[in-house]
Amino acid sequence: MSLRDEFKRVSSTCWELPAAARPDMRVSARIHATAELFRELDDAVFQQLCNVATLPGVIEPVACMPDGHSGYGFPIGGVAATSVPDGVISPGGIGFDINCGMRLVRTNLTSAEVLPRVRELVDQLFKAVPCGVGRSGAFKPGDDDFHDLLEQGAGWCVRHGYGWEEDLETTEDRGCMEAADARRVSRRAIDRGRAQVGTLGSGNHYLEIQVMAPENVAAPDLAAAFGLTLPNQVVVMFHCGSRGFGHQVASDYLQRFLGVMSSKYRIRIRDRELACVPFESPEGRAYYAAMACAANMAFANRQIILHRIRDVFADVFGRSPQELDMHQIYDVSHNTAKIERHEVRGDSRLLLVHRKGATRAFPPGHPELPGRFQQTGQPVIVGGSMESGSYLLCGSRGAAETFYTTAHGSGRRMSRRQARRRFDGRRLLRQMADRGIHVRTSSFAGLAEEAGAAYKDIDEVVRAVVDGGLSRPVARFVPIANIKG
Amino acid sequence: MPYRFVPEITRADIAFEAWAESPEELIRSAADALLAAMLTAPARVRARCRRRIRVTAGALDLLLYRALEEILFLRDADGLLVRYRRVEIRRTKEEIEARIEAAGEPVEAYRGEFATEIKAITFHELRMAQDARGLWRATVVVDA
Repeated sequence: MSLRDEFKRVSSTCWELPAAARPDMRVSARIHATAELFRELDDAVFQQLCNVATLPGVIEPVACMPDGHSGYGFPIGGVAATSVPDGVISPGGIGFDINCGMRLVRTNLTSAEVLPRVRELVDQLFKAVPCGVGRSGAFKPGDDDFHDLLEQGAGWCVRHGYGWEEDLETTEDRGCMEAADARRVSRRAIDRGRAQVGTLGSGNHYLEIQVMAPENVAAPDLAAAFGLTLPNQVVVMFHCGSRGFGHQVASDYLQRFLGVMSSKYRIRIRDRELACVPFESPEGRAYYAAMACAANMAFANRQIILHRIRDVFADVFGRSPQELDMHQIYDVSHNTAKIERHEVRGDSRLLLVHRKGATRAFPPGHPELPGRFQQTGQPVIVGGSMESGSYLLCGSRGAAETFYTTAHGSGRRMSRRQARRRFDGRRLLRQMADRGIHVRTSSFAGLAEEAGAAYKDIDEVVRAVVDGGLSRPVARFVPIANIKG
Repeated sequence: MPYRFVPEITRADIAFEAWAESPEELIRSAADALLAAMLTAPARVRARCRRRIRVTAGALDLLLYRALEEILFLRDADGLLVRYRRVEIRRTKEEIEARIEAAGEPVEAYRGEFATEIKAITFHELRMAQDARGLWRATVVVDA
């Protein structure tokens, strides 16, 4: 019997392998998916999730979201909470692109107003937001400024004129992980990432102009609470992370952890990419502080990009960003580990929740949410492929079983190289133009990797988290323009 | 330099195997594979500037990891795309050292197309060893 077959369906949207199934698993492993998505999971996901369930101090259960797929160490879509202070911290449970995340910004424009200007808009955005491999931005902070930015995140940007004070209130953690300590970051990481603030990057990172059609509003009251009230209202969504800086932080600490994990802490793991140390250890605390710097770099990166987007819209439409009502709806993090309070078998406990390719989704009334989200719950931005559309969801109390975590995107169905063999980037661009999606890209090969068919069905992913009680649907957005790094 | 991509190891990221007659040549093969994952036309990277790189490690697979990571570092920190022209490995009691001669050109000068932005080298399935026939083989998964 394959490992996949050992997972038993425990509800319409959940499969489980009990901890007792394997001698080294400390907790059970759960996969949240519809039957269709469960069938589509690649075999390596099951093994990777079971490996995660062996980590010291892990709390019942580990989970994989419906957009999950195999990665390295943890599966993408993986969620694991460890006990604080006696559990471990694992960079592999966070990923190299620390705090890769999504921002969603509204406008008071409709598609009828934007479509005639969409080429001009995209061309200007393409210039204002550098994208592509290794690109650096116009914003090049000196060492001292970069140090401050790493410790202050999006707040540093706002205080230096890149954005509005209210942006912080609509950003997860107010755009700053306070544990950040730039002294825990290597010179290599700084050299690698300093010139990349305000850049989109490449791969699955993108910037989209999207439209909310009236028939795609699932909850008009919730949509209205986020300022989404107009038929065919235009929004801007983008996805990027901590760039080379975050990648280097993860790499530095993985190597450091591997050097002490077994010799100093007697921890044995099934995959070196799951390297971990006790959270309350010099190495664990140092990584947490450095990881928080990378998270802050990502918040700052998205804050600068938001500022550029507002400038471009103001320039093209001849109205200020305020007049265009360009308020940020929310900014979510995907690849992080955060200390949060959760209820575990009736006890309120501090846990370190690792989310790799998964989104925190606090429910209405959660004490960590600002006042404006107390009634609605935390907004959740689920980015689909560039052809299929994306969703705005809201946190739900049902997500307590996943440590308030939900899906982050549609998840790959096809590997990048498979997609590149199957699709031609130039043809894809023409086909999308015929369907009313204007695309600009820095790489046609990269565009082919992001073809809609290379990803799972986003509607099915959202069905899984909504039916499973992990989130509530608000609205669906369809793209009219895409900038692909 | 021989290598092949291995799609079955990971769906989200990119895996490759490389092989060679010696550990030095294996590092060059793996570096070529990494460049082929990043670029659609790695042969178009011209040798317009040179860099000398030195990496050390306690084990060969970690040496490979660090040698490959240098390519990503030079891309992001110095804006350079490089190929490895010559690799020399020395062993001492304490560590293994690789001295690498790299040559390449600025990212902006590259005349081909970019494919995927490789974020990092991972330790997932990372291997570098000699097989029963004496051939050196490596498996690498990179975060894409």
